[in-house]
Amino acid sequence: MTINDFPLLSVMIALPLAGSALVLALDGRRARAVALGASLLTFIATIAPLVLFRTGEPGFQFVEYRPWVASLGIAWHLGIDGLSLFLLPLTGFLSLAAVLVSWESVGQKVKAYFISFLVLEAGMLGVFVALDAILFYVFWEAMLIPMFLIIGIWGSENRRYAALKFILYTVAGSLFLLVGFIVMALLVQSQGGAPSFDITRWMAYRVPAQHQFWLFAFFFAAFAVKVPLFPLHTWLPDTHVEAPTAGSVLLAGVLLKMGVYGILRFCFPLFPEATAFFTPAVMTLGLIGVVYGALVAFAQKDLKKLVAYSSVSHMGLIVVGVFCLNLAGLKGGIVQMLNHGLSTGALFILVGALYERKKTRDLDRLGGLAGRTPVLATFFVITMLSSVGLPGLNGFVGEFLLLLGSFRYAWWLGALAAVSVVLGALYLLWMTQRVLFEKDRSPEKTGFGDFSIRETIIMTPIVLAMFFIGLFPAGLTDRLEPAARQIIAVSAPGTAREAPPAADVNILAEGGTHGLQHPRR
Amino acid sequence: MAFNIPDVNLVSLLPEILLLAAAAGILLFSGETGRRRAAACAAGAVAASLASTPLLFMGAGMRGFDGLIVKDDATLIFLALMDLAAIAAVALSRDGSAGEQEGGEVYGLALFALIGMHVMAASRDLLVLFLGLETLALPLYVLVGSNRASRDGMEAAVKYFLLGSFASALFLLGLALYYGATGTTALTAVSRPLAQPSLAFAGLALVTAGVGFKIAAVPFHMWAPDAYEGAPVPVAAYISVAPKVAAFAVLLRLGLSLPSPDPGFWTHAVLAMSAAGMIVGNLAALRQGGFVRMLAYSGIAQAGTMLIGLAALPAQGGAALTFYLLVYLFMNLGAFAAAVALERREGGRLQIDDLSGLASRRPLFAFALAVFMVSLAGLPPTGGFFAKFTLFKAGIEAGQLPVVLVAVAMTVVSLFYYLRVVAVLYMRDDAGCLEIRPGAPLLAGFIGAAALATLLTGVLPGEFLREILAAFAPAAL
Repeated sequence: MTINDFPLLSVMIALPLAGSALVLALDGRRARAVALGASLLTFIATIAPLVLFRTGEPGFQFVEYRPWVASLGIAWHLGIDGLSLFLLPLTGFLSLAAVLVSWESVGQKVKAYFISFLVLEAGMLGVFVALDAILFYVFWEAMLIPMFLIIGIWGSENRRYAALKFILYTVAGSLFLLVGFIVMALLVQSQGGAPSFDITRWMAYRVPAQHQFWLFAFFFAAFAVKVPLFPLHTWLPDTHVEAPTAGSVLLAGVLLKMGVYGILRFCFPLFPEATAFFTPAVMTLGLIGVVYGALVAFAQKDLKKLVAYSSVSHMGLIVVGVFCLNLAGLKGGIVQMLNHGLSTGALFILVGALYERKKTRDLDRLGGLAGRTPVLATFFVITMLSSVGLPGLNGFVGEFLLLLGSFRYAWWLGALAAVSVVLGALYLLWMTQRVLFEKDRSPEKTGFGDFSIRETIIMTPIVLAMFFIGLFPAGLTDRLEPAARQIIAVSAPGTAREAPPAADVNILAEGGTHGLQHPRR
Repeated sequence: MAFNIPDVNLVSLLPEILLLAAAAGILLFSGETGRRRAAACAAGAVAASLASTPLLFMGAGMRGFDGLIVKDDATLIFLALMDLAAIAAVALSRDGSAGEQEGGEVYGLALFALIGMHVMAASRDLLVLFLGLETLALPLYVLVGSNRASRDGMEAAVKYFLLGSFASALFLLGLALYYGATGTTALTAVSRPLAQPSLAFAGLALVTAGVGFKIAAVPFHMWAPDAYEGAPVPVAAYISVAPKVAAFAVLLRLGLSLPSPDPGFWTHAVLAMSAAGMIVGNLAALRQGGFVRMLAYSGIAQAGTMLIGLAALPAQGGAALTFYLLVYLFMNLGAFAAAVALERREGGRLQIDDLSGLASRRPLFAFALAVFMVSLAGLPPTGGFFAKFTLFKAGIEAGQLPVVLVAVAMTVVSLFYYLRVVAVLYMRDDAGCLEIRPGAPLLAGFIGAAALATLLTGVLPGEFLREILAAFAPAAL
């Protein structure tokens, strides 16, 4: 068996599932250790593709194909390209971090918690590697029940409401996706042959223009809820506020990415004409989301709600960027998905740590933490700066590319996006000032310590990754460029379907930005 | 005058004969043997029927009585489903509950009803169908009221009887009209050119209404909530699945006999019943506090969903509907089995809120119940998802997108009440006065098996679907 035959992706999905089975079988006291071991192994498995990935090669790698429900044309079809490549380690890493985060904070029903958690992880990984639409859908939905339980059992006071709201919003969107999938399969079938839910086959098929528009709407509904795009975002703040810290980390870090991932994987390549048609509307909503999210974040007193609304704002910008459908915008969008996962995940971890110390998330009752908890404060500032987009940190790379893409699309769009980025900087800096500096407004000023070793271990790699991406972005952009190019190639309206051109211009290859002078569109 | 030797083929009725012998035996001797032995006898007879079915007829099929009885592969699947439901009902009721320590004659009645269902599923003649329908209906009226201590049970039985008689009358009127139009009671006649097609179709409309009563299709659903709630829970479990299978088998046959394309009314009527069932059932289920009553409305909604399969004939609808029935058998009986296990001894009805905190005390039991609820809601990785998926696919393929969109919207509504059960199980720790009936290993085993089957149909649906698709392939019909 060569390395190419090894079912790496299946193993990656199976590891957390095996872990959850082990947690079920073993004593409750060992649940934490088993979960940690399983998520650590999974994380290693998600790193492996990063190392083995053949850079610059378009198309899918590590492909596995096995019929599953042959009579319906459903297969266990897995594979990754540059688009999903970085989302896997992000998922693996944040899951590992989430296990560590919940090490002490989860006191009751530990077994059930870690079982839900590991099943959730398997589902998230499955979504990113599935190349069969129904398999994708099964992972997409199978994830909901564990998340529902995590929010509903281990959340704060209003958790049952939040859990139900989360699942209803998501399912309402995704059932339309299911109908869209079925229609797609039947359309492909009408070209002759068996019904097929194979995404790679779908991409080779040209959807008739009269079907594109409503199919796009059906697909987009599911993804827009997940992103979440204004005005479908209202589940997000409620869910975040009620979810336990680890739930928030995965929700913001991974689940939101699935929306954009779905748009890039399905909407763009399958419905190019419809994409072009809907671009102005989606961009408008995205921009409204950016500004609205920022303004509402400004008004928040609850730290967690503030971070949640900042997610609405950031994700809006990503949507605007990818809908520019030029290389800079797409690459920026993909990079920023990763960045947002890191920085927002880290922010939620920090907010959770603050809450454990001060028992409040109210901005009016915090303050002056920099002196008391220097380590926490340092991490906080770096994470905040990463979220703001300071050069040298990861956020800058993504935001720069996104803005560049927007300017390429239209100068006014770039101008609007740039203004909104300033807004984002404003509330994040203001929030940091209120939390870390000024004077301590909380009733209990003592009785809590700085970061423990466990918390430092969680945060250090995140911060290192932020610096790494910020300083050496080429490692990222080189690998995802073929995928971005392919999306552009197949998404251009009216073009014939053929193999996308190989990567010729290596943008950002030298870590500089001069390569960006070659617009693709 | 030529004398035709009647085509008496008793072998084609062997399963029914087995059941009849057992039913008669139970009625004669149950006074002496008691409940448990009667249950064992009934279960044995149904198991024998279940075993004899594939042995006798698989593949080639069998006809008897000049085509009055036809056992092809599709019929065999329906027979097997009904037998499974009957075995499950016996398993649920064997240990009895506080209120109904009746003798074993209930098992005799259940077997008679099963014979009626068998006849319904296997016949292609409206008159024989009617006999089957009545043989099914009469024992069920008694079974619903078999808890003589309960006033509600009596009331439910009377309601069920009155409305059921009305439905039978409709069926009979339809049969008369049909006979008037075609000069025969054979269902195949309608596919030939007719002198008075509208009369025949009016007859079939009434027949559909009469059969629609058995699946609790809206607007013939009024009896269901009261009957389910008033009946002993195992009986409710039985009537929630087995007659549905029989009635859907009849409706499928009816739909497949219609000339294609359907000249008008039937598909539209089915679509209307489907949409109405989903809307009424789901919206009403939202407001229910009682667990069994919620399941009753959920059953009305599920029947509405299954009707999509009939609107998608002659394409994939039949196979999709049959697969849905298979999954429904597991998940719905599982949910009812949970209700049996939780039945309150004082005779009060099980409320959804009573389930609160069960996950902490009985994790496995709560997990099984959660699986049934998630499957009924149609979420993966359970069988309910693939059942809905194949049905939606068949519907869209047949060009019935609007009704599928209604189903999609109503599925979202259904999440409210199905997941509410999961939420109560897992997310509340208060109360907890409810105890699971101790000493019912049969019940616990059945719940476990049903949960496993629900998950299995979700993970490996291909294995089940292949057989069903083969049975419904155009060549096989």
